[in-house]
Amino acid sequence: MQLLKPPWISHDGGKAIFSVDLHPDGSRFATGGQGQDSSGRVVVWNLKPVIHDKYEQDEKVPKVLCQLDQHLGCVNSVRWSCGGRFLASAGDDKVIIIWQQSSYGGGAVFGSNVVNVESWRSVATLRGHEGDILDVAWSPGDVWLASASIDNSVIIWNTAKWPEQVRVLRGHTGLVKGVTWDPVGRYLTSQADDKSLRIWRTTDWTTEERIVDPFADCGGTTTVLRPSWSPDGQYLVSAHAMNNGGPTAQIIDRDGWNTDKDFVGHRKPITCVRFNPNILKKVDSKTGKNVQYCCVAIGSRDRSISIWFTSLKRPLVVVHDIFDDSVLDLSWSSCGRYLMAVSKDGTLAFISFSTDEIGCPLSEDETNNLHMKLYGKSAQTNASSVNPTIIENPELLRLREEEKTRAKTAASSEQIPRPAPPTPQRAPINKQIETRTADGKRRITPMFIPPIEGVETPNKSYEASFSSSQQEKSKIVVEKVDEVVEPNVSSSRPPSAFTTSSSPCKGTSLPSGFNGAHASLPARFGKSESSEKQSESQVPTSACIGMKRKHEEMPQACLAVKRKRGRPPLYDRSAAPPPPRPPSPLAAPPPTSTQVVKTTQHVEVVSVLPEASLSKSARIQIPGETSVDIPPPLLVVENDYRAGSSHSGGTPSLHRVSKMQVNVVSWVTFLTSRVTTAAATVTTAAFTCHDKSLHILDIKTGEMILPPLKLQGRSSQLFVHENTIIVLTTDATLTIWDLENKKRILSESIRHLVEGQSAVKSVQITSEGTPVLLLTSGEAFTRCPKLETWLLLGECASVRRVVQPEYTMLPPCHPADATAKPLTSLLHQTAAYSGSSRVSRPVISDDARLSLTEVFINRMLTSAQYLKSSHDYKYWMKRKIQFFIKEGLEKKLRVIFDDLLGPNVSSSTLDQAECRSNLPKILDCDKKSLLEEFLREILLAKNSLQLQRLYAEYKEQLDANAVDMI
Amino acid sequence: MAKVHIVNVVVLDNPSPFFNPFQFEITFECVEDLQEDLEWKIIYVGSAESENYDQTLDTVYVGPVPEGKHMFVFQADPPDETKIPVGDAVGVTVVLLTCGYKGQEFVRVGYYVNNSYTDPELQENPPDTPQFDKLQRNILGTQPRVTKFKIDWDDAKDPENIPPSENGEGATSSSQNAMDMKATLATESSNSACAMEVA
Repeated sequence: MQLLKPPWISHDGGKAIFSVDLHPDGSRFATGGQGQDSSGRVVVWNLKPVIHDKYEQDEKVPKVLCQLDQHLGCVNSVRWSCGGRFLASAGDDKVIIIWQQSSYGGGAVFGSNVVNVESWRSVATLRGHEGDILDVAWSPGDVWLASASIDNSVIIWNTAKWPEQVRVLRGHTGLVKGVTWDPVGRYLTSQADDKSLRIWRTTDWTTEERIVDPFADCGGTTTVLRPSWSPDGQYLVSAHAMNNGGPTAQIIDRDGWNTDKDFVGHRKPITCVRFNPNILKKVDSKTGKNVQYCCVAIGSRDRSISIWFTSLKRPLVVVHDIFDDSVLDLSWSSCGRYLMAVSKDGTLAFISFSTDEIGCPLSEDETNNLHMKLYGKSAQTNASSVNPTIIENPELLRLREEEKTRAKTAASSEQIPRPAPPTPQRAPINKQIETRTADGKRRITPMFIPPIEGVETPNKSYEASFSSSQQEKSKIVVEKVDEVVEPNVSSSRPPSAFTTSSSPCKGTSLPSGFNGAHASLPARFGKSESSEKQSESQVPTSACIGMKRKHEEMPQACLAVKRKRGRPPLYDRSAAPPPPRPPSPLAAPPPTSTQVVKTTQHVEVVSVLPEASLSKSARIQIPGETSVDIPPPLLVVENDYRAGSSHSGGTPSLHRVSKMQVNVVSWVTFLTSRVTTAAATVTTAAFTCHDKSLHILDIKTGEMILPPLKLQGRSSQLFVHENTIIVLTTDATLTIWDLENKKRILSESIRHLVEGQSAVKSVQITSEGTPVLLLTSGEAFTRCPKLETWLLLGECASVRRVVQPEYTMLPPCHPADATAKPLTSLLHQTAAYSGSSRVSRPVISDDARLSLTEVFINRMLTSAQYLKSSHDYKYWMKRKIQFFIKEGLEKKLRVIFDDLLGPNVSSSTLDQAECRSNLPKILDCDKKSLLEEFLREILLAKNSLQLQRLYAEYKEQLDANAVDMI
Repeated sequence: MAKVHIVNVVVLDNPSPFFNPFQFEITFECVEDLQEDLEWKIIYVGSAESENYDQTLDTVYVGPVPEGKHMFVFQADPPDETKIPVGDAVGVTVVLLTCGYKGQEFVRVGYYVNNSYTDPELQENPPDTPQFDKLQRNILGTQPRVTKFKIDWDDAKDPENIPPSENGEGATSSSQNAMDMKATLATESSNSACAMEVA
């Protein structure tokens, strides 16, 4: 046995190394840990210089093959895929990066002294965990990747389809600190700080066993808990367990999950366990018999490593004080003769054994045979059959095929023309294109550099030009295009909190001529604090300016705001934009301060919404038959058309409203009060004035249909739909008039709905004549005339935000569908349901999120039912079924299916469901056909095989029913 | 994880007269298609002592940016010499190349810049009012200082990267919180280790 600690293996001069993994082909190994500052680092090392002294001395043999600094938090786990093609790394930045060697060739790391011999690029970034990821593991045959996180979950990723999640395993109630697969891929094990170790079945991802006894006395004192399965699959060895007050590594027998053996001797908790990947054999010197055994390495917080054979009662070797700090990870080479260990102290230890010492590995075939004999399955078979269970029902197979072809033809036949997603077009490869934006800035489309073919030839020309300067000017052709473009940037966001991770070249002296650098200059390379402070303080400053301006305009209002500081913010908001006092021709004497407070108080109580205002001149398109040749007619509002004299008793200002078509004025009318809102339909023009009047005109002639209506308050919003006029006044009274019948439909305060909300987005009337209110916050309300109150359609934002975004997606909606899908078209207008909402999802427990998702879908269903929209109902029902299928909630699926199937079959649920299940239809959907459709969802689901019996059962009953009917 | 990494920057036309435009040939790699444009800036530090003399020489939008490696030349006019303090005209200063996405700066490359007279006579006896037309600008292109910032690349997917709403102390990022947690774990562990040994 040889032990070696190569001094050149370190992360940035001694930063903690959390993980190590040897490549299956024995050519290289990867380490993961801390990088500069708080960022993470993955390094791919050449193994040769570690094994052979000769190569270590040879300058031409590179030691670092590639350094990857993309992780923004410490890297806690690096693992090569079993096939060796991919490297998975995961860490505190909550992402897993899957790396693959790239054909770009190597090169220097910009801004550092490291030269990468190889280039590894990320092929996938897996996001899903809400906390630091502490361990990852590839399943045998690389079918899945499991990741363990401090968010208490384990996520199973589909390696064939990044970044698809096969399942999120929930159940642990503490930080999950390690995962491992059994060698045939039947079980997954996770160990967590909740004093338990769970064994999960990979067939249905449920818990096979929860082992708690050996962990009852454990404290969460280790950074990681990496358990390991023996290569023969017979034993699982846990990390930190306790026995009689001493730390142990618990041996868990696959047979009945017995826990009667353990590895004892370490003085502090065990952080990591790793079995030699080979089943080993040796000829026993005493008996002369062939012995087969497994070998395991155990690393502990006591800074030592022990190595055991399953055939020996005592350890093969114990290496004490090999590190200055806790051991964090272990890795064996695939040949089984090399072991690596890394530590928090930032060093790596390499141990090599001779075949005499460690034994002779069983060949792959022998191992597979053993697995086949023991489990009827091996890692080989596992790779080929991804699906964990077999199709039991020939019917299902046929249906699956049918479904596939049906889906294919459907996809090809019904291609809905819709705007293509904004896919970036291929960039030019020989030039850059420059255009100008409206504000005069340049927009550059960069030159695309295609990957260089052939991995082995790193591009020399690039290497030569690294971090350099040249006398020459640029050779890139710049094509200037004379067109004004819109930059593709979202509106500026507030300055976010930054974590800096600077990588200046340390220890490099400046050449002469640069010696006179000012001492404060280096500070400028990062973001200096003062600049950040400046940008922070800018926001309040501008707000202050806004306040000041308001102050000048309406001193009374500001006074009131100041006085009411102590009130809840709700009032503050409503008080902020009070309507300006009307310009009265009879100027009142200057009010005394007490009077001011009185009046503003009055305003404050009354006005919940800001008064609307139109600019000096506004144009509103009048809907109607639009043709290409003739521009649509416009309703033109010109406030202060003729300014009045300011003297009291002088002529008042005149404000003009007119209809124009192609610069020809159809009609004109004048008003003495400012027009605040205006709206027009094919038949009617309506506008409100500052003097609380509402004017309704015939759009064709400009004649008044009614004398001006006097409103209770100033108008905040005005909507006109066909023959209904809707006015929302500043005191949040919503009034709706039916023009045709000259009748008031509704007049009600909706203060309780809008108070504290941003604003009313729109008010509409459905075809049935019920008003619907959309708020800018995304809420939609409809008024039930019988209940005489408002009902919330859909779901409020607080729930929507936590629901998994894939379930809050609305179905696509075309304007033509509006009557068929009232709920969808309504909620589309709120624009708050899109899956990629900008709001961050708050961190809540997964159980709560699942429950809320169900609540959310149920709310949508109830809303759809209320609106009698069968389309919407069907859509959300389908989502519910999909949700239950994905989460494997068979019982809940049964309840739905039983209901759809009707009473004659499910006698058990007859009583409670009698009233509903007797009806053959829900809304106007036939229940049977719904059931048929929903059953198909099982087939389409990824985990369909788990539910195939459910499918078969209901399909049979459904078919039997159909026969009865005939 | 950052979606864009600078692969290389070559300083072109260097050294050059003070009034020549700046030219940086930038190569960057993008790991997945970007929804929005990148915003690159060149900032000239007019005086080491105060940021008030910083001049943003130019801002360009770069896009669309699909996955892969890209290259472009970023040319910007020289700084407005009238805004440079007289005492700072000659000598060493800094030029910064920054890149932002969705209004958030994620990388900053800093270079030392030396402005000096080429004429030995002027070198010996520099004039009181700097003669900018006789100055030569030399950018230390071989020693870039790269600073990366953690930003929110995706809006919804990465809730942890949303800046905390608190001011001041809130500026420490979530990853640092995670580090703190690790630190507490470590102390916890040492306590229990003592307990164990006593037992």
